[in-house]
Amino acid sequence: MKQKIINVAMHVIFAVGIGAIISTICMLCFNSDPVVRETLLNVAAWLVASALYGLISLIYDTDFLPLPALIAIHAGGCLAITLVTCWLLGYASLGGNFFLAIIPLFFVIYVVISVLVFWSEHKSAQEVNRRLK
Amino acid sequence: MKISFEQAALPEPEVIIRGDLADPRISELAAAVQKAAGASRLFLYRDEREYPHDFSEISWFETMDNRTIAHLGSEQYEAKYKLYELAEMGYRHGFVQINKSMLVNVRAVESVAAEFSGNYTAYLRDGKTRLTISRKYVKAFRNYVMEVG
Repeated sequence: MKQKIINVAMHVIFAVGIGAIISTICMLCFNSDPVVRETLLNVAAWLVASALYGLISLIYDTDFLPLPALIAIHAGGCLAITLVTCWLLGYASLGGNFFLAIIPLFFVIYVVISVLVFWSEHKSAQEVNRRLK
Repeated sequence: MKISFEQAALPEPEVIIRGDLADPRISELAAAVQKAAGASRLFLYRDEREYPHDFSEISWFETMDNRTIAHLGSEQYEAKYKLYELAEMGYRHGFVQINKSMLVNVRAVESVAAEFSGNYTAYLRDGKTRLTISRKYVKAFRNYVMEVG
């Protein structure tokens, strides 16, 4: 039953991901309102950044680097993607506060996501243990 | 090497290998026949002697110095197979690759724990062995346990 619920949830999440991409592209193509287009450009840029975060996370599937090196490469890569995206979207107009505003927020979100991923792995291990018994 | 075939009314094909059992060609032949037959027994070696063992008796395999070692409780034997061959042969007997140099018998695993590194640690039923399931193989291990094991 639980596996079925997870399966349904995975389908829903997958559909939301696809839907977000398709609807953003469609709205960018067919909506001429400048304010809406500005918002959609932001959404599109962060969707592309999200795809890049996903790609850089593939590094965790490798075994040839020690964990500290993997974390350094992953965190550094994600930070670079974030900063470039912010810069392209014109957040640099914040002036000197640009890095001060972005970097701490990035690390807070990074740590929260890391803890959530570990918690999810921990739950997954518990599920495996139930099955092993 | 002389090869003979004999017509016989048997419920399943029978292969008999005659000759000097210490001859390495015999070991190679036996390994090939076992692999083709998907046998549940495996010939393992120690001190130049041959010991047939069931897959279910083996807890884990590891490669070390170009040799493949089978661990049966506290005993160790050598297997004349590459790890990938054992992975193929052992899959239906509960063996799953857990890192680049080890296969574990899922039935010998008592529990697992997730590490912050993304690896899992597998605790075996012998109460003392801990093996690392590396990030790359965690998903395959989990899927095997949830769907097959």
